[in-house]
Amino acid sequence: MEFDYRAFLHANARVMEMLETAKSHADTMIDRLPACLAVVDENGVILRGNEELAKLLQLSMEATTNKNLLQMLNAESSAQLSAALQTSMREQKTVQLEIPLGERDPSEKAIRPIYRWSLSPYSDQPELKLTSILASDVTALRQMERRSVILNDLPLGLLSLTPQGKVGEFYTVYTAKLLSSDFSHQELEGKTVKEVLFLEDRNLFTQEETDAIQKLWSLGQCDSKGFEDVARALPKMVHLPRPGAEAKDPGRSVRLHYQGVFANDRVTQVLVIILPVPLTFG
Amino acid sequence: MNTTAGSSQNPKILKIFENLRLMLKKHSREQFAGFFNVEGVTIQDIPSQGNKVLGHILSSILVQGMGFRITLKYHSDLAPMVPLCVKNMQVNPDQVKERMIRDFLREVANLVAGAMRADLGRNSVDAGISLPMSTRGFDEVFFRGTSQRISTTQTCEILWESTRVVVTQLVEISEESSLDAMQTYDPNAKGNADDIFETLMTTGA
Repeated sequence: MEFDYRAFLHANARVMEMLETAKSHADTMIDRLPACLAVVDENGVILRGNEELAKLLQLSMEATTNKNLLQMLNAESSAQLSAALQTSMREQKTVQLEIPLGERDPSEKAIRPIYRWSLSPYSDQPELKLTSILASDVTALRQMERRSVILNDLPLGLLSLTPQGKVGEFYTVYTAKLLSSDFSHQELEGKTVKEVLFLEDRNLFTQEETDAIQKLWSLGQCDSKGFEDVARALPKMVHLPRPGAEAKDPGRSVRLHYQGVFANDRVTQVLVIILPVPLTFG
Repeated sequence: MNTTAGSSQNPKILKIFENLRLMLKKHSREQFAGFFNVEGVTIQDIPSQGNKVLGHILSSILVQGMGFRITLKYHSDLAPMVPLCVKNMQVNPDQVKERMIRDFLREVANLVAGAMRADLGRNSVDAGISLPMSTRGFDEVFFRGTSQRISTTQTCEILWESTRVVVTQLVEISEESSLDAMQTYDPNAKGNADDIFETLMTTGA
């Protein structure tokens, strides 16, 4: 039987087309990655960049090719990134660092975007001396962290409760000290309200208050109206132990204020504001 | 012409390299102008571009015979190819897709390789051509260089208005006599149009 070259070529062309399509999908995935990606040579020249990198450098994606990344940053950022690039190549390891981009504003009014850079040797062919660089904008994250630090240091009792009646991940340092028996910092997350706030050995709750506390275990089903009813019935003042005091000491009184946090009209968290008496709130 | 280190300085080989360079330039210019139906296409040698990526997209094809291999690559960014696509496809610039440009460059590579094969055949050198392949220009960094002792990389650019396509030709010779017949190649010799047609039919293009 004669060999059918035409069929052979068509089969090969089909396989080639499939490979090209697969490669094209992989390229698109890299192009549209929601973080800057670049492959650079030992001098920092970009050989491959994606759309996010192009956006950062204010160029089209193809125009990023053959541009020197180090020369497109300010002198301070460039020096830091250059040092990281050299370290990554010399020690053949991943180097991570955060660099604020743009020029420093002397008045400190403008926010400089902060990018987290991760540089890894392109290890498939080490003789090529290529480095993969991934960079993502962490400005919002760092801002949030700074705000959280400020909030954390507020001299105000503030903690979050989950819809299951347990202390959530957010509470101020002051709260942890306020609710401890010896002013030491204690881990509150995951504890129940009965363990930290509504101490039955120090408080005598009414039946309505007890029922309302019980409802804190199933707040997830509560809408804003239902939460208002529960909050209205919850204790407005409780007694906590006074650090270093004798057992018969009546303890100190704190006022409580409850604030619901909602999503789609369902309670997702409850913020409890704790104010030592005679301070009041609202 | 950039002859890689370690390559032969044999005058015969250098003559073959020179003739292959002329053949590449002749067919690249002619096929490019013919395929896109444009006048005023020029082609000129340019120095080796070192480790640069030569374009956003890359089309490559092999011309191979017993004892030699020629790798042709056409590199271009997208924007410079848009006017040609607009002219050929009768579309607006914003309707030009990367896919179209890839197809065009792939076809140019295929036509040039076909013409070269026909030219080699007229000079008694049997060769076959591969299917053309289109990929991203970045991939070039992984496919540079050769382990062959006798090799050369030739670089030129095709220019038409604002369009610029960089062409590289890597010639690798494993049997020194395999391309001897190309010493007498005449780039001005008129080929038979049927030769190219036959080549394209044989390769299924």
